[in-house]
Amino acid sequence: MCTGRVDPALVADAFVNGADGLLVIGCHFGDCHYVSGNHMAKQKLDMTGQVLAYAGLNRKRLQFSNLSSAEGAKFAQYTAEFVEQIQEIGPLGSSGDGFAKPELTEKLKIAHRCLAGPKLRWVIGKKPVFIREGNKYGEVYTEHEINRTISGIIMDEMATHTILAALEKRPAAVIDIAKELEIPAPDILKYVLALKRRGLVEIDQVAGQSPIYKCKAEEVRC
Amino acid sequence: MHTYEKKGRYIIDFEDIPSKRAEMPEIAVEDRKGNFKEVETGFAEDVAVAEAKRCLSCRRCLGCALCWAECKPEAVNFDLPDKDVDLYVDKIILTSGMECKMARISGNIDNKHMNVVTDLQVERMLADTGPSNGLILRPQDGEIPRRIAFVQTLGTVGDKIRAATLIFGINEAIIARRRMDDVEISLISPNMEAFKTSLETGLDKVSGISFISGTVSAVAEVGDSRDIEVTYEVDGSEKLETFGLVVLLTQPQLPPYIADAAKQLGVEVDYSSFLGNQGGMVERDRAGIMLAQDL
Amino acid sequence: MGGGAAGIHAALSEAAAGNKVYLVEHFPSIGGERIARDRIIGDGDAIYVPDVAEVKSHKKIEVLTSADVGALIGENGKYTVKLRCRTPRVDREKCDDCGECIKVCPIHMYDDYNEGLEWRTAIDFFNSESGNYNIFKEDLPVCQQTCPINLDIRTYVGQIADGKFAESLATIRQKLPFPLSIGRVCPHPCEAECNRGHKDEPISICFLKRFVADYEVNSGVTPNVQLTKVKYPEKIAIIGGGPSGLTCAYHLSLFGYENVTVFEALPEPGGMLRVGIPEYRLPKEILANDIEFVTRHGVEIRAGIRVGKDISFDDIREEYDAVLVAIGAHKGVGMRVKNEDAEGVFEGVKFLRDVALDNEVPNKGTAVVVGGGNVAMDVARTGIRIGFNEMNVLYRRTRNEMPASPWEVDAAEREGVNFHFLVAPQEVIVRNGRAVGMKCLRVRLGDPDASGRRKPVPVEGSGFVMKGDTIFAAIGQVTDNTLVEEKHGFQFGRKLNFQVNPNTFETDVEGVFASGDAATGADIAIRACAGGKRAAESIHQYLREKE
Repeated sequence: MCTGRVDPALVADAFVNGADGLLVIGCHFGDCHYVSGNHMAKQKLDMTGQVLAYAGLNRKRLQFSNLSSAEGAKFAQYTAEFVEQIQEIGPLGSSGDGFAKPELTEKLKIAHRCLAGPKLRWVIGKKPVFIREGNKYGEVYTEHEINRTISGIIMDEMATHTILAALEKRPAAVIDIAKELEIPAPDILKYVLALKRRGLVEIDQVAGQSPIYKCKAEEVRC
Repeated sequence: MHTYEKKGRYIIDFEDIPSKRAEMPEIAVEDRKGNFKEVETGFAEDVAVAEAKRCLSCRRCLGCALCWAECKPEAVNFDLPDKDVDLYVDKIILTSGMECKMARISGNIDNKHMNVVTDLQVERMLADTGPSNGLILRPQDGEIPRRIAFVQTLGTVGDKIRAATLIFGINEAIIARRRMDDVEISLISPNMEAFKTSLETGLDKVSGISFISGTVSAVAEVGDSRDIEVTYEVDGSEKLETFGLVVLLTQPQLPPYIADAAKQLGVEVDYSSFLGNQGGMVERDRAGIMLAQDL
Repeated sequence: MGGGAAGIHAALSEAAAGNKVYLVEHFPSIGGERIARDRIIGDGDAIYVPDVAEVKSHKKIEVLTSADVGALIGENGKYTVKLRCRTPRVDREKCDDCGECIKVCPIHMYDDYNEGLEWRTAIDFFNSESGNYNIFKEDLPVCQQTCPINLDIRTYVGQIADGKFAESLATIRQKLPFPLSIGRVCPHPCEAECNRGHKDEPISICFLKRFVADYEVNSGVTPNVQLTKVKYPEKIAIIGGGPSGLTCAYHLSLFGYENVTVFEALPEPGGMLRVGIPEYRLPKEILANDIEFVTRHGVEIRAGIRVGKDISFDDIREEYDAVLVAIGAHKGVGMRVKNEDAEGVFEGVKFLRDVALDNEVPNKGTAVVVGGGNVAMDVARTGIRIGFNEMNVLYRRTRNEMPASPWEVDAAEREGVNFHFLVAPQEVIVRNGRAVGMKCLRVRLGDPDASGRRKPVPVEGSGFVMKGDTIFAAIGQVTDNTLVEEKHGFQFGRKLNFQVNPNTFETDVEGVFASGDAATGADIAIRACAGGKRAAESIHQYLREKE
């Protein structure tokens, strides 16, 4: 399979299912049969790494390398080196990761949801276009600008899906979610209202001074 | 309405916030006498690049066209142009629009206190198409406040505008009481007694709202709950009271586009020209110019 | 006009009477529940909910949203309303309000319709009831919008972040030919508006501009000059070789004008950048680099020729197809105190000019500087450098009200300049025909005046004398407009500035334009450059229309 087709969600999936490391090896830059498949892979995996790191994964667990099919010895060498690197770091949830295992897996599941959604996949696909030709308005982005934009979307998406996941477990008030997730309450309120505006969350009931929000329906897609 | 997007930009809390900006290096003060050597010596390359990377690259619509890709009826069209329209009409009806001027209040620099809101924001909260199903919520934690203070701190304005402002606040308080029965509401304004006597009818029906004739001098955030402590003067003595939410009564005024239209038409209007004859029409001295009164 | 509750109510009743109604709204959508302001509501009375659906379906009512009113013309019941409706970028005929777009839009922003209480997405329905979907696209980022010449800051700063310094400089030079100079002297209004300032500190936009410009000089690169293939033969005279005149010349040459001549009265070009800004802020060889970039575009600069003296204004008009007056504001304003023409009293701007041109200037003893603007700071800091023992700045308000840039005031203080606030000069004390000091009164700040600034009120019996052998007046500059005469028919403003159309910089005299301080009164350099660029566009348009 062309590395350009390695789906970000697939990568997250590996870690959710307990993989301690993931090495993606693509063709050498310039040798791509599809012209830019391996460049695209690099962009996507960089972004995926950023999302997973945001969820607490040690970034060294995901690596992208380049090899040709004629470099068997090098393949063995790269693989051995990567295995050694992972052994050094230790299993998933070690000190190099942001959290210990059950919690880390929960966060990785949220990262998986972000990566499976349309936003990040679409925008990362636009990155080379934005830099070369510009966006729909013909505005050309600098590399810095598109990176800023993508990290902004990652933070927004992670927050959104973290809150959504919490509400899927049980309906809750803003202050309760804030306490549970350790995210400032004003931010929770803004995200909950934004989800409500998108028709994904609604007010279930009012308990005392607290409106209780709950997830609406099964179809969650954002 | 305010254009919030322009005034209070939404900025994501990026991981590099906060960080200090780069400082410009300078030659020593002792080296500046008797010569005209350039004082500022310029950024080094690494400093400049790091500083440039602080840029948030502000942008709203990215032009990514994801909405366009998702839109089944193909309604999204980035090339849809602005439209110039000439209307030939016999009558022009002006309305009051919705714009407010905020009075400054000591202790709330740049409107930083989250639990201080405006009366227009409360109007949106109480509205069905608003964000909170008609409930008043504290922006700081999404809770329904137990105690709300409506505070009038306008400086010199006409009596009609001042009365309109207070009536607006009272009406919001009445609706809030209907929706949230155990909420306690205070309305603090100077010359409250004079205002109450100027009203011919209505106030006797209002229940559960305390009217305080006082002058608010400052607001402050207190405790983890970020409740708002209001300092006000009543009968020559200073009082402190804490509320879950403070609503600033704003001065209604004509938005620039209405004011400008009136000016072009040569009619003199201000906000109070739109008050008085509920839902009716007031004709101005120029033929075909009408003012649609507030409802 | 106004699609709120009252507007909808009025539209429906007019339509019910059989009239065709246009409902014009400034925002992207009509509607909005209202709470009464004219009466205390009773039991049956609640929030007024306008009937948006009725308006939308009514055949007699046409709703025009995102509309800006251009002009309202007419009288006696016959009116023409000229509107520009900003595009929603969503075809409302096709939109079925399914909400899929807002589910996928990756951008959150404050929602104006709900007074900023919640977020909307970049594509959004604005008011859920009316379902008027629109895409919010800002015209310009806030920094670029604030910059008088609208430099594409987001791009050139991003290019620096990417390490693409030459590209960054090219981005700047699309509009501004003075990156070295402006990168040093600009008081950068853009930084005050920078969004990052709401979170921590604004981006150092101005010094980043300086960095890329310095980088080119330090790497010994000569910048490329790219001119269009289109060439125009018309002759254009630019009077004044300062930031405004040279920026205009630069843009004219970019348009393809090959005969642009700049007349500079002083021996060297640069205007206030050369003779107003002291060298410790802007070295002359640095400025020379910027000017050389302009002349390499084929602009001819004739320095040392004063129009009105060495060549008459009539001759210029005769010989050239268009004229730009960009002579700046180089004449100091008097202090209007007794004995101000005594020996030892100088105009601050003239002193700076003389220092810059190596003319003889006073440089000993104690000096008094009257004024609180950047010129006063330049005079004081220059005085410290050339040998005065003491520089005393008198200002009639407090430090907070000083028009000078705060960093200039701080620097002056660090360099040993003394500040005396709340002091009003009364009279120059003269002994043996020479100034020896300034008689002053202490003042306090009273009520705000028309400009909103608190007016200084004299404190009685507080008179005192500030000793000084040299007195500099730095309280403002006006334009020396003696190059033209009354017969030419120009109008002048309060600062003796040429009156112009603020959009086109045309004067009342056909074919004559004015920009920079000469048109606006003393202002910052980048605004002068912006005016020069705008004037170039107007001159281009004027000459092409004439053709």
